[in-house]
Order: sequence, then C-alpha cells, then structure tokens
Amino acid sequence: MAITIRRATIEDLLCMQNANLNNLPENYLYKYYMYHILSWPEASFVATTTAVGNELGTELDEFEEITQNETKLSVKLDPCYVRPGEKLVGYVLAKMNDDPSQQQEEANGHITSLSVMRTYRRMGIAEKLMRQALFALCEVYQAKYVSLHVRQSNRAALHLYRDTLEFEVLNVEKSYYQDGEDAYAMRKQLVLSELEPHKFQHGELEDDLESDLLESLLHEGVDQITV
Amino acid sequence: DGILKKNSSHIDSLALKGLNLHFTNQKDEGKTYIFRAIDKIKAQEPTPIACHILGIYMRNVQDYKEAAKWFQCSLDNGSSNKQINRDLATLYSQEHDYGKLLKVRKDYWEDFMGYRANWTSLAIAYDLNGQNEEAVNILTKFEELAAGKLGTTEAFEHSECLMYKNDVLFKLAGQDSQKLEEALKNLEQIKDQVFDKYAWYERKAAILMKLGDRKQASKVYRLLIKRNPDDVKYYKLLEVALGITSNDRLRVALYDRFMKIYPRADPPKFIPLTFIKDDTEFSRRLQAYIEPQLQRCAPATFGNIKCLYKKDSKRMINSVENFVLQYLQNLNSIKQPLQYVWTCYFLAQHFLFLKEFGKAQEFIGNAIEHTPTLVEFYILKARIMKHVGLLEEAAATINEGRKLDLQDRFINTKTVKYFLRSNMVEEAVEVVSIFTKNDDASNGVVDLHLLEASWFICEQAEAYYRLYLERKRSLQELRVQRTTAEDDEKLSELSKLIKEQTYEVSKYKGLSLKRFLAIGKFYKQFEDDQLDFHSYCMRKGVPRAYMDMLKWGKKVFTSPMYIRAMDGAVKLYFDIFDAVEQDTSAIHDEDSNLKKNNKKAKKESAAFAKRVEEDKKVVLAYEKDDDILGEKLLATKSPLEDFSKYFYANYVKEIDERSKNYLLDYNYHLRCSKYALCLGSVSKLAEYIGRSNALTGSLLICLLERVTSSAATDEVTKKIVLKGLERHFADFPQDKANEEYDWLSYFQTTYTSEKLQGALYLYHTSSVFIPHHAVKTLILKELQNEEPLLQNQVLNYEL
Repeated sequence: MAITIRRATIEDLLCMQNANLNNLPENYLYKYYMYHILSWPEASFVATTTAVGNELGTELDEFEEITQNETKLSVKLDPCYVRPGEKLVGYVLAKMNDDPSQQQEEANGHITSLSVMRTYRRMGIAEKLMRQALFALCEVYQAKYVSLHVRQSNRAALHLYRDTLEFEVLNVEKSYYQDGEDAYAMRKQLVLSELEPHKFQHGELEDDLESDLLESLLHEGVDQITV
Repeated sequence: DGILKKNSSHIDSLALKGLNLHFTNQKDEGKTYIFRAIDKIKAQEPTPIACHILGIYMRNVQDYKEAAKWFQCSLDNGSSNKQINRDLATLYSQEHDYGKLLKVRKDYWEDFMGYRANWTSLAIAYDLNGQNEEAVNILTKFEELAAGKLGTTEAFEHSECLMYKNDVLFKLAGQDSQKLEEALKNLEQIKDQVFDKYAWYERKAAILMKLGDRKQASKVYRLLIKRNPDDVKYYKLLEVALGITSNDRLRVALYDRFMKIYPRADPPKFIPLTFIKDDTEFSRRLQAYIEPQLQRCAPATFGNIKCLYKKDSKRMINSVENFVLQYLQNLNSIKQPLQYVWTCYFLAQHFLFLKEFGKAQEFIGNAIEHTPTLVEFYILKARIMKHVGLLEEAAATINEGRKLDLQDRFINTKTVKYFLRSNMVEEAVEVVSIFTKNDDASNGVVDLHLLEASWFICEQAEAYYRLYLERKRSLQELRVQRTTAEDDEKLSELSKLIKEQTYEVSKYKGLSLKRFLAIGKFYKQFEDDQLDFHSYCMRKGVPRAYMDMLKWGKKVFTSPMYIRAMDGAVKLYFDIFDAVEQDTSAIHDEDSNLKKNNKKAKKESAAFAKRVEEDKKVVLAYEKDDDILGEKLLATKSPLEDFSKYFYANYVKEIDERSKNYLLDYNYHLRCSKYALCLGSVSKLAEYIGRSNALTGSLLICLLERVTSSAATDEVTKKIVLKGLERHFADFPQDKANEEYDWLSYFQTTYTSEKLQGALYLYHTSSVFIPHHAVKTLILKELQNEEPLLQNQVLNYEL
C-alpha cells in the first residue's frame, strides 16, 4: 500500500472526524468539518493507503487503456475506510482566519487540527500534509501567514512545527486547552516560492517539465532492466 | 388567543399558536394546534401567511417535503414574501427535487439580480437539470456584467465560479473535440484568475488526453507530480499519457528516474513492486524498499507491503524471510537496540499475517522483553492474542501498553476497543471516559454520543449484543434447571436468578438496539447538516464544493458505519419479529411462585429497583431520555417496519445495485413473506459470490422450504417462485421439495466454497429439509480449519 497525500474532499470527512476522535482530545461535530471543506475547499489534505492497481477506475476509464475487471469490491465496515482499499491514516484540517474581530489583519490561515495514526508515524506523513496545506493556504487563499496552537507537552509536534517547518513561537497561552494545559501559539510567514513541495525533496535531479521524458529514458537504455 | 376565543377555527391563529408553542418547548401541544389548522384547510382556503407558518413548522420538525409543500402553497396563494423562494430552494435542494428547484431559483434570481450568489444558484439549478448550456450562459452573462468591477475580496469566489464554468463546459463537451477545444480555450483564458492550480492542471491534462495530445498531457502530469510527488494517481495517469502501461521496462526506468528526482516520495519506490515479475529483481527492490524503513523504525513498514502478499504470497514470503531474518541476525541488539526491536515487530506482523501464531508470539515477546516501554508492541501482542482467541488476555495486554503513555488517545481508543471485544463494557467505559468531557454524567457515554463517535457506540452495541446472547443462553439453562428442581428453597433461588437474568437479557438487548439506532441517528443528522449549506455555499461562492456535497448527500446512508449498524440492528429486529411470530407466552409464567414470603419479596424488589436505577445512570446516552434501557424500542409491535424506517429504507434508496447487500435483502423479504423478491435477491447474490458458494445453496434451500411448506403461501406466489427457480437455477432439485430427499448430501456435494457460512445460514434459518443436528455437525467439522478467534465466535454466539 503506497501512501498517497491528496486534497481532502467531502467524502473523507467522516474518516477525518474518526481519526481526530481516535488521536486527539479536541473533537468537533461533523458539521464543523463540513464548514471547513465548504468554506475553504482547497485547504485540507489527507493521507490514505492506496491499493495500487484497482482503485483508479473512474479516472482512467475516461482515457480507456485500463479495463476494470468486474470483481465486486466491498468496503471494510470500519470507520477508517473511505472506500475499498483506501484507509485514511492522517489528515490536516485547515482554514482561513474568519474571526470578524480580526478583519483588519492581513489574510492569514489557521491549522485547526492535524493528526497521523500512531502506527503510521515516522514516515514523514505529517510534514507532507503540512507542506501541502501551507502551499495551498498561500497559493489559493493568499494567506500571508499561518498560525496554530500546540500543546506544551507535545514534543514531537513542537519539533515538526518549529524545527522542520520553521514556525516561530509567538507566546504561551495559559490554559488554552479544556484540560488546563498551556499552548504554544506559533506562526509562520508564508512566501509562495519557498513553499513549493518539491523543494523539500532534495533530489539529485530536477524535472524541467519540458524535455522529452521517454526519449531520455530510452537514451539511457532500458534493455538491461530486469522486470 | 383573543381571536381564537372568538373564532376557534381561525387558521392563521391556530397555526401561529402552534408554532409559538413549538418554539417555547411545548412540542406536543404545538403539534395539536398545527394539525387542527391543517384540518381546517381542507374545508376552507388558507391564507398565504398560514401556509408560510405551517411551512416553517414542518421545516423545524425536519419534514422537508411537507415544508416545501406549504411554502409552495403560500406562494401559490399569492404571498408577496419573496424570501419564501429562497427557503423553498433550500428545501428542494435538500430533497434533491431539482425540477422544482429550477423554477424557484429562477424566480428569486429575477427578483434579486444584484447578487452573484443568485446567478451561481441559477446556473447550478440548470446544471442539476442537465441544462448545461443554460448554465454556461448564465455564468457567462454574469462574468460580462462583472468584468472590471471585482475587487480582491471577491477574487476567490470569482476563481471558484470560473473553474466551475469550465467544469460544465468539460461535461458538456463529452468526446466532441470541437467543444473540448473550446473548453481548453476557456481554461487558458481564465488561467491567471484561477487560484486552484491543482484543478486547473488536472483539467488541462484531462482535455489534452481526450483530444489525443498525450505528449502535452504527460508534461502536465509531470508538473502535477512536481507539485505533489506523493499522489499515486498522477503517476498512473502519467503512465497512460506516455503510453507505457504495458511496457514494464520503461515503467521501471520511469520510476527509477522519479526516485532520483523525488527521493522522499513513496510512490516511485513502491509502484514497481506491484508489477515486477522477476523474482531476484523483485527481492532486491523489496529489500531496498523495506530496509530504510526498518532503519528508521517506522511502525507501518509491514503494513506498507502487506498488499503485495495477495499478489504472490510465496515469492513474498521467501523474499521477506530471507532478507529480514538475515537483517535481524546482523543487528546488534545492544548497539542498535531500536532497529533490533522494530525488526522483531515487523517479523511478528509477518508471521501473524501468515497465521503462524507461535512464531509471531515469539518475535513480539522478544521485542517486549528487550524494550518493554514501546506502546506499539503491546498493541501487536494483543492483536496476536485476539487471533489466538484469548480476548480477555488481549485486553489486559493492551491495557498494560496504555499505561505506558496515558496522554496518548490512540492507545486509549485501541484499549477500549479490546475491552469491548471481550465484552468488558464497564472497563471500556471507564477507560474511554479519561478523554471525554463528563460534566454531570457519571461517564463519557453521553459525550461520545454528542460527539458522534460511531466507532465507540458501534463497538459497544456489538458487545451488548454478545452479552445479550450469553445471558439468553444462561437464562435457558436456568429454566431447564427449574423444571427439575426438587425442593422449594432451590426453586425460589432459581426463580430469583431467573428474574435477574430475564432483566439482564432485556437490558442488553435493549441497549444494543439503542446504540445501533444512535448511529442511524448520526447519519440522519449528517444528512440534515447539509441544510444550511444550500444557501451558504452560494453566498460563499463555492459551486464545485457544493456539487460534491450534493453528490455525497445522496449516499450518506451507504457509509461503512451506517451499514455496520444496520447489520447489527437487523439481527435484533428479526429476533423480535421471530419471537412475536412464535408467540412467547410460555415465558410469562415466572413471577407467579415468588409471592410466598411477602416481606422478603418486597425487600428484594426494592433492591432490584435500586439496581435498575444504578444501571440507568451508568448507561445513560442522552441527557434527557425516557427510554434509557431501550425497553420501548424492544416493545415494538412492528419490528420490520421499524427496521425499514430507521435503516433499511434509507439504505435501499441510496445504495447502488453493485454494492447492495443481497443477503440482507433476502432475509428482509423472507420475513415479509415476499418470496418472489427473495428469488430476485438470491439470483443477484449468486452473480457475485458464485453458484457453487454454499450461501447461495442455503438460501435456495430455505426459499424452497418456505414456499412449499408454508400453508400461508398462495398458489400464485408459489408458482412464480418455482418457475423462477427453474429458470435461474436449472440444476437445483426443486422437484424434491420433501424431507425424504437427502438434502444434506446434496448441499455438501454441490456447494464447494464458503461451506461454513452456508451451513451457519442453514442452521439459523432452515429446519425442515435438513435436520438441525446434522447441520451442526457439519459446522463443527468446517470450524476445525478456522483460526481460534472465529471458532470461539461461532461456538459462543452462533450455535
């Protein structure tokens, strides 16, 4: 199962709500998830497992080539499954700041909630989700900065935001959470050209998007490749 | 009130008073006034105001169809309130009544052309009616009107609407290349104004593909991969665009190239594993895929490759065991402690997957012994125990793990699930309540209902169901004992136990049903949650997201958890139905002989009442609830209608033919005595599971049995079914519809797959053609080959 990172759609929301209930103490009603996806449809992302080979029916059908065999795929009756073979393992729920009392502020985004199932950690999923969300908040919604809160005790999250994603700690908000724990209020200025997700791949090559890919593959030779 | 005193049939006042009472929390009284008003309307023409009030009332009680009717009636009777059109549009949208929607959207648009929302709404209404060209025209007209007048605050809305228009153009074009060119031209025109670049590039690639310009399309897919190198879809589409889907050498070369460009992305590394045929090469690549993950101690390393076992399990087992066992041997458990234990963890998962439980236990045991502080290991150890059939031990194990990280909700949730799987409901509730907001309630159950926590409520419902079955069984045993009890003391002791057990049976049954229904309610709520968005999305200017919502809204009741709750509830409803059919008068003889010692009895019954009150506090699900234990739900006289109302009707309305659960369908029709429909269900089911599937066989046998032996079946139905059987299942020996025929050996020899499932079905449903004890023997035989978890489940809850 490869892990796919993709934009969240309304069909993912039930699984997102479930993942949130499974992982975090701050929970929301379904309608609040709807409110996010219907107000800022391009801001939230999910990580799902993809059973490579049989799930692309609809998209590929349009361009023929791949024919689906008529096996009946049934979805597992489990709250993590979006559709057959597709299990949601992480999500980031993001929005733009729409607090009427802060209308004077320049456009800014907010990360409402982010979590990855414990058994899928240490694969960089949270970072990838965040990179896409930051990019989208900046590109689609012209956010100048993005803010979030993190529990003081959550060292892994703090590391991700502060060290990997380069957020700065603005201040500590006393008893921000229901259970009385303090939160770090964090913020990151957004500059679109610095956010492009491929920049964090550190690959030895870059795709110029123009050169003839097939030709260059053939040029390098494929005869010695074993399949 | 004043008017009503003078004229008790003044409709406006009746309706208004009803609405007032409704909103001041006197719902029942309000309802009577409303219906008095409606009654009067039959005799005299209503005023537009009365209709409007009735509409508002109906909307408030969530009867949207009725609400729409009254709003419409208000307009038809000459109401000048133009806002009614907007309310009406919301209702028609919610009911997916698009024909009527178009009319009211149009009327409203004509009245208020100054708002973009109304143009967007009208375009959507056209679109929903398949009038794509009109939709495009409306959108274009607004664009022209607004040209040069839009500010930055409207830029996002504009972007969404432009892209939406392109959606419609694309849909309109179909395979028509000229229209596709137009859509492409439009797309290029709007490029700078569209912020949603993913959608923009995906559309561009799709049009290019349809136009046959695959080379250009491939470049767009490369760009999409550059934007998001972690979406499998883009790679697959790129393969299509490059025309290399059947050239595995080129595919490998492609993914190798991408690995160099996007070394941190997962798809380029993983996808080749799904198609490489050469064993050595496969092993090499698998190793290259796993090793860094083991190095990094990623818990999902095994989960990531699990699906590859399905393709070629032998090759997979060889590769994994060769490489990983070797890898483990080379690790120094002291110098590389984390790598060592996580590799053990990986191997334990591997052997668990192969059902080699001993080895799995050994590896996870090593890991825990080495490092007893890692939560994940306890989760896995518990999972292995679960498969071995040790549910309680599994729960205890995972609970140990939970105690290592009390802050982590994930392990808390898992622990709760394990407690529930082993029917330890009290422990589960105690642990789950650590993370809930409990306020005045004695635990988190109320909060979990408020938060729509389907996972918990469904697991709890299932646990209650198993407890119900267990208690029912011990109640039966007690009853048997009583018939042979000799002295009075023993008898009264047994009677007391029976009374208690009877209560428990009904309590667990009621709670189980109540919880399943709670999930049904969530989904009803999710459907209702759309209501506000029919106008919100128009104001916000997000037509594409809105269209997605409408699509989603048409299959809310096919979501996995809704189906699971339905599957649970149906067992209880059938149970109630079957009990009513068989008439359970025999059971009501109990309390009669308990009256001897009055004083003692009084004391006992007081203690009992107290206990019930305690129970109610603990299982409370809603703050104000007059049926905490679900007694009213169980007392229904119409279980099949209830099932249909709360679950089945919604499901059947929304499920597509391909995904439908035909077994459930069959069972439902069987109980409704609709045998012709049963035949339809079993034919459909056989298409999917096969004619040699034992479930197909058992359904056919049960159907034949009912049709031929039930006196209530009329001749016409009988004929239809027999004819149908002959046509669809020619090999089926329907002419042998009697007990002399050896149905058992027919069943055993004809149906070769899924014998256990088929036999279980027969066991529960058939009684005439095949003797019960013979089916039981068959089940026990089949069960021997199954894993302990399943064995226990069948032995405890099915037989």
